[in-house]
Amino acid sequence: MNRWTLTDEAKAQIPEWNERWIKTIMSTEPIDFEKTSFAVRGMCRAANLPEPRIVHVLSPMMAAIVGACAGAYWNYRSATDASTDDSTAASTDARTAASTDDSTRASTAASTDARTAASTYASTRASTRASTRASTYASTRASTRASTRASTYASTRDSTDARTDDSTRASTYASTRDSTYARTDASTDDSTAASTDDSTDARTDDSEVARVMWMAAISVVNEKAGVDLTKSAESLLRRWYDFYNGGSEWASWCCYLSFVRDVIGWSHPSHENYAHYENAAIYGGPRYMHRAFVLLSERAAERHTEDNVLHCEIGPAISWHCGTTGWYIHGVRVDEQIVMRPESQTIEQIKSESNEEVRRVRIDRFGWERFITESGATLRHKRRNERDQQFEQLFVLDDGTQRIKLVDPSTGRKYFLGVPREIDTCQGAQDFISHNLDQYATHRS
Amino acid sequence: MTTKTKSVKKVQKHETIINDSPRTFDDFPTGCAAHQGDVIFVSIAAVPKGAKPRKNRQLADGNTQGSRHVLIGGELWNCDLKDVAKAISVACPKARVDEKYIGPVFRGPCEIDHPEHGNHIHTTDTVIAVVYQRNLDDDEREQRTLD
Repeated sequence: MNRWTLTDEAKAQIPEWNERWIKTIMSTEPIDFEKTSFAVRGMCRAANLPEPRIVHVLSPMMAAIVGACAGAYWNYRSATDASTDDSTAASTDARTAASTDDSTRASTAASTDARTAASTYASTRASTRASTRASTYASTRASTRASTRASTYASTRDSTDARTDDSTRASTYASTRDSTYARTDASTDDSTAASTDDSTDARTDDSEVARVMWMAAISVVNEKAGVDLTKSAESLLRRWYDFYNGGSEWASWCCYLSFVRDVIGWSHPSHENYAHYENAAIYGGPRYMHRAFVLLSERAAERHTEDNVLHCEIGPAISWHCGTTGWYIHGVRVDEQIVMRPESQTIEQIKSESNEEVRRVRIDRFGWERFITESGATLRHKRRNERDQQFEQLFVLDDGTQRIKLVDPSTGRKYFLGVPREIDTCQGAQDFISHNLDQYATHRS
Repeated sequence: MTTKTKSVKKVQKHETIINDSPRTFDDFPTGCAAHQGDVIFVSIAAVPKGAKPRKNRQLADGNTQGSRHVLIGGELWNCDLKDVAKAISVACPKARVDEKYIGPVFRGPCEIDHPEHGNHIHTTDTVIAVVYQRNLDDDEREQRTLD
């Protein structure tokens, strides 16, 4: 096995490489539909998959909804046509066994596939149009999971397999992909997945826009099929992530793989296939890949971040062209109330919050002082700190955790710092916070 | 419940900004400490061996509101954290500082500038180690306190 090490020259290029790809990941520019379509077709060719129909949609949410409805229709037509084909083939076999050959079946199958594909395409386009129209009114196009995996696998596996030396992979991976991923993931893929998941879970849940899109898309498909495909579509909607690829939002992988190729200089014939995947990330946003069609989503319309983490205190941190939005505080997904009307939260809402991160954000936004006052926290100890000339209070919260309230003598800001449960005095809390150095301190400012 | 509410209100009356002016330390002997926001300065006997000069004069990284705890003048080093922890425990026998809470070491005369907390001015050549405060997060895990 070759053992490679990352040269100082290559290491020096990592920050610039990261920034370049972070720019791609964070982009809110319109996608290049033609170039992304070309890249998707290239991936399918590399995986020996038939060329898909490609449709443009406004958001991952729209892709999930339209994809589920169109997928349900495609499944229905495939099953119907296959059943017709089987009976035709059986009767033909019985009557003309010697003269009938595989070409009959092949031509039958081919024509069936073409018919199914064409009709699915038609219904996909129709449902896309309907949901696009619907979402516009409300506020404002593959492969299956296997084919998604196959095309991605075919495009990327050789670039990352064992032939890429362990040490090179480890050092490059650690240096590039991890840092890019860590710095952007919360702002991109996780947020997209979370917002799409939330809204598709109950088919719409809290999103009126998503509900309207769903109603429009499923009605078009049901009408075209002449049967109720709602359950089938719902099933596919719940599995939306199986068909999903983040495109630009997953470009942290491309940052890593392209670094090995372009900076380290390792070349391999598989890079030709991988280039399609990379181009789809550069030119396109998230996509929904079904066997018969691919839906190319626009990138987010707006993305507000702080240190590459979604964050906005005056509105949604991320919004999509279909009108769907996501609310985030320091990367934590919250709701509109927590961002815009935090004072309207109730103690019950905060106490019943099961997600600890969200609970912390809820309290921060609500105000620790008010929370302690209204939540029934118990005062365990208080004193006047003569050196700092401030009062200190040690509280036991309803979950048994403790917070000491301190006031900074320079700024007047109040702090509610967590201290261990066994501490029973304010000095004990100060000792914990200062590693016992507070006992030696003559001054605080 | 009523009593607690009153207690909080009473405390609020006494909360005033009383110490945002510069503080000059003409004498800061070994074993002496001082707080500046979320940072603790503790005087140690000598600069640990193997100390390497440090260019970044911001003593506490990771703050979001610009340059804080910036050393003006004096000399600044990055040292072996174990050595610094040991020096602190020798200077302040009751203190036990985990290495992850230890910052650089500097020597005066110098000034530690901060836009919100009062500046600390050291007129002597005392050797000082930087220590970061800690607290518990909502999961009761230790973390560095950031103000």
